[in-house]
Formats: sequence, C-alpha cells, structure tokens
Amino acid sequence: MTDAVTVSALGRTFTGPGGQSYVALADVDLTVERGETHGLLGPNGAGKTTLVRVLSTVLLPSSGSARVLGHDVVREAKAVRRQIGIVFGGDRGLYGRVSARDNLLFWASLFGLGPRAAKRRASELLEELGLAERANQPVEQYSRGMKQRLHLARGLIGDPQVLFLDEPTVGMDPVAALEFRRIIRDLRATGRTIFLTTHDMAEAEAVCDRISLIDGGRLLLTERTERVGDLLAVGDRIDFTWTDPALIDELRVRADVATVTGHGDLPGRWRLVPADGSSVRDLMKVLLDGGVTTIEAAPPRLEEVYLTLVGSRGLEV
Amino acid sequence: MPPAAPRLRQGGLLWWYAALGGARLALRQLIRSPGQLLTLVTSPLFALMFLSIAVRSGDRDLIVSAVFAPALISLWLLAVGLCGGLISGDRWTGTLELALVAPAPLLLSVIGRICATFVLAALSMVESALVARIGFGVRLTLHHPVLLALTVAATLMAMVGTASLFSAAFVLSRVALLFQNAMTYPFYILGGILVPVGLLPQWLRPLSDLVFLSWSGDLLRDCFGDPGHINHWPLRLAAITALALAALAAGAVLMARISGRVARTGSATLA
Repeated sequence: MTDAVTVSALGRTFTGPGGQSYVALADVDLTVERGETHGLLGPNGAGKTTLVRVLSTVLLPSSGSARVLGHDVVREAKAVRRQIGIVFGGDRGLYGRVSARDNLLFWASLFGLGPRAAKRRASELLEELGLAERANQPVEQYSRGMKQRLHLARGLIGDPQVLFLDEPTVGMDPVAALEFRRIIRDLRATGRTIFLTTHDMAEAEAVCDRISLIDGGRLLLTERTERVGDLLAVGDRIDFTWTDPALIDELRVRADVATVTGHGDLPGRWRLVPADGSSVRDLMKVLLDGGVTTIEAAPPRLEEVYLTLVGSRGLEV
Repeated sequence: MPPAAPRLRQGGLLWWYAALGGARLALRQLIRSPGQLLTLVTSPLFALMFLSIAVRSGDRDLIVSAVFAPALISLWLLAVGLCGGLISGDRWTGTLELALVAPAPLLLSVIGRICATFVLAALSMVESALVARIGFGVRLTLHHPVLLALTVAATLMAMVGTASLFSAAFVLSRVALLFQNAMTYPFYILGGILVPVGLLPQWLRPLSDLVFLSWSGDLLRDCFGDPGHINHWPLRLAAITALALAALAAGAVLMARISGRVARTGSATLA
C-alpha cells in the first residue's frame, strides 16, 4: 500500500516585490504512513504552512516532488483534491453571514455531494463536532473554538483519507484547544491520516504518532513522538529542589555532570543533565546524600529537543 | 456503526451540484443581507424618472425604452458591483484558496452564485412594468412572448457571463475600483439604455455592437413594439448569446489565470 504522503527533495522559493528570492522550503524529504497522525513542528516562518499548501495543491513546488496517496500534487492535482481535506487555522475561510449548515452545504456541493447527501453529511458532522444546536446561527456569531470546529467539519465534508490541519488551535483558549485535541484523537481512531502543523509542542506531543521539526525551510528531524528525546544523545535529566549554592557549585565541577542550570520560574529549582555515559542512578544518590529530597528523573521532552535544535524563536509551550 | 461514506459525484453531476450549491449560498447570503439588493429599491425610482420624461415626449419607442432601462441598469450595476466583487470578497474571507482546490471548478460555483443574484434582481423588470402601469397608465402590449422569454434568458446569460468576467478581472487588476466606477454610464450609453442606439452617432455603432445590452434593449423593445415581423431576430438573439459565451470564456480563462497565479506565487493579485 502506498504511503499517505511522500515528499522528495521538495523546494519552494518565493520572489518578493523587489525581486529578491526567499527560500521557504529546501530539499525536504518526508514520508507519512497511512493512518498516521504526523506533526510538523516549527517556529513562525519555518515553512510549515508552505509545505501544507504544496501538499494540498494550493501551491506549486519550485523543485522536487510530492505525492499524496500516490498521486503527484502537480500532475494529478484533481485526484489529490478529491481525497484530501484542508483546515486552516484562524478566522478566515468561512462565510460569516450565513449559518454553519449553509457553509457546509456549499462546500459539500463543491465535493460532488447531491442536495440530499449534502444535508445528511452536514447534519452528521454538525452533530459529531458539537455544533448541531447552533447549526442555523450565522457563523459570525460563533466563538473562535466553534469556528475552528466548523473549519474541521468543512475539511471533513468530502470524507477525506488525508486531512491537513494547519495550526488548527492557533488563537484558541486553552479549554477549546484541549477539546480540539480530543476531536483530533477521535479522528485518528477512524483511520484517517492527519498531517498537523503547529508550534505548540504540548499539542504535538498530545496527538501525534510521529513529529518532524522544521526550521528555515529545512527538515531537522523526523521521529516517533515518544522517542524524540533520545535524539538529544543524553539520558534522563534530573530536576531537583535545593537552596544551598555550595552543593550546586560542587555538582557543576563533577566530571559526570554536563550542566546544572536553574529550571522553571521558582528559585531553588534546578535541572541537572548528566555527562555522556554517566549514571543517572549514581548522580541521584549524590543528590540524596547531599540532603536533596525533591528529585525527579525523566527523559528529555519534546520542548527540550525543540529548544536545542531550533532555539526559542516563536516558541509556545 | 459509523455512517456510510458519502458518495462524491464527478463530471457533469459535480458541475451541476457546484452551480446549485453556489446559487443556494448566494440566496442565503442575500436573505441575510438584503441590503445587497438595494437596486430593487432604486429601480422603481429610476423608472419614475425615465417614464416622466418619456411619457411627456409621447414617443412610444422611448416609453418602452424607459420601462426596460431601469431593469437593465439594475442588472448591470449588480454585474459590476456585487457580482464583480465576488471573487475579491472570497479572497478577503480566505475562502478563495479553499474553493480553488475543491474538486469542482471555481467557475461553476461562481456562475451559480451570480445566476441566483440575477434571478432575484430580474424582479426589477416587473417593478418597472408596474410603475409604468400604476404611475403613468402605460400598458405595454406584448406581441412576441416567446421571443421575449428567449431575449430575457439570453440577456441574463450575458449578464452572468459578463459578471464572471468582471469577477475574475477585478481580482487580477491593480485598478479594480477604478474599473468598477468607470463601467457604468459609458455602458448605459453604448448599450442604448439611456438613449436608443439608433439615436447615437453612427461612428459609435461598432462599439455599441460589442455591448450585449444594445442587442438586448433593442429586442426587448421590439417585443412590445411592432406586432408584425421582427427583422433578423435570430441573428440578434445569436449576437447576445455569442457575446455571453465570449464573456464566459474570457471569465473562465481569467479564473484559470487566478488559479495559476495562486499556485505559482501564493497570491491571487498582481498588486
């Protein structure tokens, strides 16, 4: 069976008003398996949206190739369009004066659903996404979270096999974002392939099977979400609470300690990263012997990988 | 049990559904924003003005012209204004990109939306006739009902074609607003709406022939004028249809250019 998405040496360059070129994507290689929820993580301007726009046939690539469900996005754009759904984040993309149902009926018609089938499909989606009660209300009266659920309903109207979600929770309040993530997890259970761009690492960790990090148009890594921490080439890091600076100074000069840095907003919270090959267990014993009682050891989180590889630009945790 | 997968049609049915869906959306939008059809309010006022002058002149041809002029002005204003700004509006709401990558061609849904608007706006013809009857006691006698139906249908088709062309052209143009403002009175003159084409200088005739309104206006008047044979009506009807198809084809080409521009540059506009 073909992969859901195959990207090979993909490049995209834009030309600015002054004639200067700007590389949005450079030599990107990526494969997304069928049924996978894949997160594309990166700061603003990293190339996430450009990649989604190329894969969804909105934009032509400048070089390389991309296939969705085996269809080339340039030569077989029509075949791609029949099998994908696109959800862009933000307020745009809906007709505000008319109701959610009217919006969905219109988009259903563009996917080839007859009037009766469109009504049925719209009702199903409005029910599934919790919009049924206000389905006949003008969309301009909707909250951000409701609009985003409607965006998702629109993206699902043609029952796509591959769903592109471009920063779907941007601007949402935390409760609405959590609810949206639950919906994405439900969608994953239906066997669809979901390609999600975000710069919210909690979101990527919560819903994605694999993630790719992108920055400056280049793909930095692709890995299973739970294994991303391994890529830092360090073992578990140790978080602890201690106020005596003498112990901190003592730890900092040890050969089996890579770094000891302040961690979090509260004073007295520290993060110890062991040196390569050193034992977390031995270091924890050192801390316990020194009188430390609040200790936690855990593998590096996506946030740390991101900070290490990308830096703190455009970061939202 | 999960609901059955919806059956997505392709080919002719997809096109038909897209046009139908566009028409439905336009009607819903007009119901929610009736102010967009303000021409239905201004049209009877135009009719009052034109008929006051025409009735006083006593010229039967001019009176018939005065009845149809407000309706044609209304439809033309809608073609240039509301329908002409349709794709630009979609660009601002962010729906254009999504429509461009939907399975149905953009042109079809645009045509559906424009058709629905014009069908509603065509009520201005009825309004004008009522103003003539009630306000001035002018009773028009219809001598050629079949030809009238054909002329109205061809005229609406030409309006749809022209509006599609404007809709695409205004997105690509750097001076869309200037065009929109400029495309009213010159076309009322060339289209013989304000003054019958026969009264215009001869050298304007070739230009006037390129504006479908001139053919439409003449045929509409003839349907109510001479009860006898109407000269060359098939040819004149064909001229309206040909101009409609030419505008529609040009609109399709420009929409393809918009789609290509978005795909190449990421933006629909030149600006």
